[in-house]
Amino acid sequence: MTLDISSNNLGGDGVDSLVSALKNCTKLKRLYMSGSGTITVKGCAALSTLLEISTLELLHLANNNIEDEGAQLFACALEGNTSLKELCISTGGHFTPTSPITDTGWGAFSRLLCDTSSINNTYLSNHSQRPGALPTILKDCLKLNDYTDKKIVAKKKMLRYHIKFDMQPLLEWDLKALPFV
Amino acid sequence: MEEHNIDYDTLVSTTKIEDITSNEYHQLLLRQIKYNDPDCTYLCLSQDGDEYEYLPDNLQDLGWLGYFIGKSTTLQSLVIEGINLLDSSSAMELFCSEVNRNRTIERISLYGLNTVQTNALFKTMKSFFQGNNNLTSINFTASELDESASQHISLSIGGRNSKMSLTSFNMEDCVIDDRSMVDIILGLSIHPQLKILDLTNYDGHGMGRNSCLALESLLHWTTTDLRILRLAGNAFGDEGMKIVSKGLVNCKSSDS
Repeated sequence: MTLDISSNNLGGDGVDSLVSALKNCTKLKRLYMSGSGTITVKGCAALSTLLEISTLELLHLANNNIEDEGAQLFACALEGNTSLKELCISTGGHFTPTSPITDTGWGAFSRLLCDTSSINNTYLSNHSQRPGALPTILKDCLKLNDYTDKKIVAKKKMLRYHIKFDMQPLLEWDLKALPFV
Repeated sequence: MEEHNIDYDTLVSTTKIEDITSNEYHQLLLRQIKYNDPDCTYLCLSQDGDEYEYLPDNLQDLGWLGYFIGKSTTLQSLVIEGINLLDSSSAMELFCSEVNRNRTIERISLYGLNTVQTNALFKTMKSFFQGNNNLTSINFTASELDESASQHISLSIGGRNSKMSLTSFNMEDCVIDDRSMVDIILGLSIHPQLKILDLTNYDGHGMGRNSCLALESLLHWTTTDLRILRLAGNAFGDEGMKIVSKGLVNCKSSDS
């Protein structure tokens, strides 16, 4: 199901009601809620729980003045998500330097895009996103993740960050078993 | 009105297409509709004059066009834009009372109609809307309507004996008030199979508290198969959202 409630002056308890109504909705595929006003950290916390819905593919929350703390909540919620294809939380156009989300907020996403802390995590972190006004480190990761063939993404990252690791057996083992996020 | 008494059924055997319009492309289109050419499934009444677009020269032309659309058994999609010629309710009624006979059109799009045109169209075409069991999609966009027009629409789409089974209803960017919106949402309550409902309204004329309540009830009791719900721009705020959310709870119970 697609639900578009953009530009409806939401901000307070309306967001909570919506989230609790949609919480167990396994039909929800796309939610557009851009330009709703200002979504508070509390609102972001509620909305980020929607990422538990295994059917959700798109969440548009552009121009809602979401700040660093809110961004971090979404990054955190994304970690366990395997269905979302598009997430938009920025405010202003791609060339507007006034985004309320700073490098601190975007930084939370860098681990998702390419987690270099361990071999396994590098392998698993291949979310892709549409680049906007993002820090360079994220842009590089996004570029890397943008291949449709996720096998190549995993391979490239391994080569870049874990150069000593021999991944040949892994790739030969069963390519279908490669994580597809 | 005099035009209403034209007996096209009698006149058709003695009237040549060339007598109706001198525009050769329009003659071609009229012939295609008249003889049920299977390639001609779409027609647009518009000011622009692109392919498959028809702009009648005068009322006589308009009446004949309506007549052939009414008789057509191959036309599936019809677009009516608020062209200047349809500016009086008598012209709209002349055209619509003929189109009203059609029972094959599946999708109708009405665009940019003013209040007078909206009123005349829905007043005249009730039997088209209620009796056409092929009709599944209504696009009624960027148009104006008042309370009386919304009641005609409500009756057209929600008549008790309606054979129509709507799967898509779009009312994007119409100039409408809260109370009239209620009438229309109530009209939709006989269409449980509705899959697409678009009440987007970026002009700030649209859903208020009353229509949120009506929508809640529609979502709660009627629509079980809704796939797309668009309510953008209505500015109904947290209060409205709280009401609509109560209806949305129901959406999780069925699969799509």
